[in-house]
This record gives sequence, structure tokens and C-alpha cells, in this order.
Amino acid sequence: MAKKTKTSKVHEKTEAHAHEHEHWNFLPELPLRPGEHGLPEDVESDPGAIVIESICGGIDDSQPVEQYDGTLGVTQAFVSAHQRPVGQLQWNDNLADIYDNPGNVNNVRWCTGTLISRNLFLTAGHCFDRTGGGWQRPLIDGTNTVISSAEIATNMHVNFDFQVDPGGNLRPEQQVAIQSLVEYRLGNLDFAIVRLAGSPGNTFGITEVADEDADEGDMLCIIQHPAGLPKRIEAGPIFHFHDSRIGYDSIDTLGGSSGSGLLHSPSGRIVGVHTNGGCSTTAGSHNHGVRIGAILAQSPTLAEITGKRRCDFRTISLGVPAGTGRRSIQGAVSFGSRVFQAGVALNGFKLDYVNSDHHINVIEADTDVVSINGNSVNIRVECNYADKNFDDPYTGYVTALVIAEVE
Amino acid sequence: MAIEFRTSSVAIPSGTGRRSINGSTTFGSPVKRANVALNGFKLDYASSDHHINVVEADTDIVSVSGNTVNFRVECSYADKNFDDAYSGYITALVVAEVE
Repeated sequence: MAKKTKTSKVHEKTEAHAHEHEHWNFLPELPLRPGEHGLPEDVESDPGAIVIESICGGIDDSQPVEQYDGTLGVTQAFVSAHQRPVGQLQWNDNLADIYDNPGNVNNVRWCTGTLISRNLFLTAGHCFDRTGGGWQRPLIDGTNTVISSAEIATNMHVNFDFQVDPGGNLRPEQQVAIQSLVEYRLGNLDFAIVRLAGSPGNTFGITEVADEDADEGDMLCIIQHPAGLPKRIEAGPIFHFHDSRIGYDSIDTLGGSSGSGLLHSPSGRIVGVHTNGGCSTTAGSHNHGVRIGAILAQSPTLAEITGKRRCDFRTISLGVPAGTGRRSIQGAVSFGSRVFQAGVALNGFKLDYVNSDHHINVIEADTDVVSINGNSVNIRVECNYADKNFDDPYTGYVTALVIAEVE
Repeated sequence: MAIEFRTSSVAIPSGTGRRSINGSTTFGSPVKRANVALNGFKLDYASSDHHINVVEADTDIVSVSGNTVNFRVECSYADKNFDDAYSGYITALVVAEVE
């Protein structure tokens, strides 16, 4: 009998923290090959037989999304509202037509992900790794080299509506091609974003990405394709955060669940990406993903989507050495993260005749942005201070205020 | 990211030498970070015209406290003797990211 109480095993938490390193080190959840680890040869015909690692407490509580009874910790309405943007990554079925050695992944149902814009799909980075899970990816013709992660991505598509209806009948799935790998494992974090053909978000909807992490104990919902199965739902509270990771000890997952969005309830926003199994009947064991706060710090795409860019300032004072005539002096300031755009203003200036006082014909203090390069903004200040003869040396400083929109 | 702007004009009373005057401006919500730039200035000899040795108009952030940004303006306007009174104003542009 499936467990019905979806509360974190908080009474085991102290012990779990004491052993957190051993409990956080589990392999990514790529799909298991049929026949491995108790997975039946035909998983879709016998999903109930699957009881393997990543099942918390030894019993799989997950339910088909359209048959969900509302007992796992989120409402039926929540699942109904958020299941459609969830899709399944699947290798294309024409690999043998493209590659001399297509490996053993042709047409394999691979990972899960979520539409986060009309054509961007958030998933796990390891779904596009060139090794892992015991699978053999296609090789570049005439070599023993696996194709690139970008090429792996474009040899997959995303299935939407791969799920059973309330009567248990499989719905016709809709395939959308992957156009490009937009972001992959930035900051060594296990997430990726791919761009899909067309605008599937207009059809299947878009899930909002949170602009900050959730809290321990908050309810999570994972809508997923465990073991490549039609779409299912599981839910449970956040168990613990550890560096860039977010753990949950009562949400069952399987290989193929990787890349699922961790949906926060009741907000419905994505607060992480599921990546790893680890749940078992052992106290303190849990599954985990990458928390959204860590991803936002690395992903320009998500930073833009969530409006997570901010304004920052730097001042730089450029000395004007003694001399005559109009002066042009360059400088640079560095910000703590990537600069998207910047402007510069006059913070202050001092212009001082070196020798006594004189009439003034012209006084100038100006600033310009020269270029933006990564975290740096290169600027130029220009100044002039002279009587009618332009023959009196002057010195001083011009201080520039650089205002930047940064990640 | 919400950016707001305030201008604050600080009067320079008549006097001689380098001047340093504090000012402040208040925003409608807590300020996360802020900085200040020159919006404009006027430096005017009190008695007739004179040669000039030095012209200075500068701004600095002093502190950010809640909704308030405290800043400082500094200026100098003098011939070689630094003995001629001047007055005027410096207007600061305060740029802030607010909550």
C-alpha cells in the first residue's frame, strides 16, 4: 500500500546532516537500460514492477497526472494547471541514417524538462553529456569520438502530452524538434536550456521560474517521465539545501525523471531542476536537484527571464597629469558579474593651473563609454582647461561614475 | 530591478577655500545600492571677476540608510591667493536601486 503522508523525515534530519556527504553523492538519473536494476524489459507495459533506487521508502507513490487523486501534497488543480508545459526528451529514431555508429540510444525516451518561455525548455545538463548511464551515444563518422553535446541535443526532440487520460488511455503525443543547445552546465551546474522549433509555449503553456530559492519544508511537486513512462506526478516537502543542491526525501523519481522542474506549491514556480536519485529505505537518504538560486547566478537566459538583472555602480578617478591642451585619458572598471549595458556620468572633477592663476577661455570635463567586455567597462574622460593661448599647464582629476546593468 | 533617480541641490554659501557640504535625499522604498553624479553646478565669485587657478566640483556617497542616501559635495573656486569669496550650488543626481 502506497504511503499517503507526504511529510519530510525531519526526525531523521540530524543524523542525515551528520552523513550528508555520503547521502548527496548519487549518480545522475539518466534512464536505466531495460533489464537493469529491476527495470522490466518493457517498462511501459509493466510500470508497477519498478521498485528500485530513487524510490523513497521503497514504495513508488507517483500517479499519472490526469488520474491524480490529490493526496500527495498538492491539489489536483495544481497538477492540472502545471502539467502541460512538462515534456519528455527523446532521442530521434533516425540515428542509423545519420551515423555509421549510432550507439544504442536510437529512439530512447531520455529525460524530462519544462517549457519556460514560448520556445525555451529547461532540463538537466547531464541529459546532453557525452558519457554516462552505460549508454553509447553516436560517434562522429570514422572516429571513436562521441558527437558533441550540442549535436546530441539536436538529435533529440521533446514530446508533449505523453500521458494517459483520466480513463487510462494513452493520449497522442506531440513532437517538437530541438533547434539548439542554448546553455549547458554553466558554472559546472547540472542544468541545460534548449531552444525548440516554433512556439510550443503558445500551445502547452509556460511555467514561471522563481527568482529566489524556496525554504526548507516548502512543498515541491515533480511532474516527470520516470523510466520514460507517460507523465506522472509526485510531491513532498523540501528536506534540505546543501551548496547548490536541493534535497527531498519523499518524492519518488526514476531514471528519466532528470531535468524535471521542481515546482513550488502553491506558487507553481520552478525552484530547481531534478538531477539525481538517492532515495532508499535508508534514513536520511534523498533525491536531489540543483536549486534555482545557484542556476540564476550562472544563467544569463534565466536571469533575463526572471528579471534577475540588477544595477551596480563603480567610480573611477583618473588623474590628469600636468600638461597643456585637450586631454583624453582611458580607464576601466570591473564589476562582479557580466555587464549587459552601462553608462557613465561625471562624478566630479578638479582642474588646476600649475602656475598661478589665469583667465579662462575653455573648461571641459566629459566622460564616454568606450566598450563593454565581460565584467569590465572601458571608459574615456576628456578635459580641457585653458586661456586663449592654450599654453598654461594644468593638472587635476576627473572622476567618472559608471552605472551598469549586471547579472 | 527598480531604478529611481533623485536630484538634490546643495547651496554653497559665500566663503573662501575648498568646501565640503553634506546632503541627503529620500526614496520611496529601501535603497539596495546607490551612487551619485554631477547634475550641474554654479560657482560665482562674490565680488566682481577674477583670474582662476582651480575649479573643482565633486560628489561622493557617504552612506545608505533605509530609504535615505547621504552624500557629500566638494568644491573649490579660486585664484592664486584663495582669498576671494565665492558662492553657488552643486546639484547632485542620486541613482539608486530600490526594493
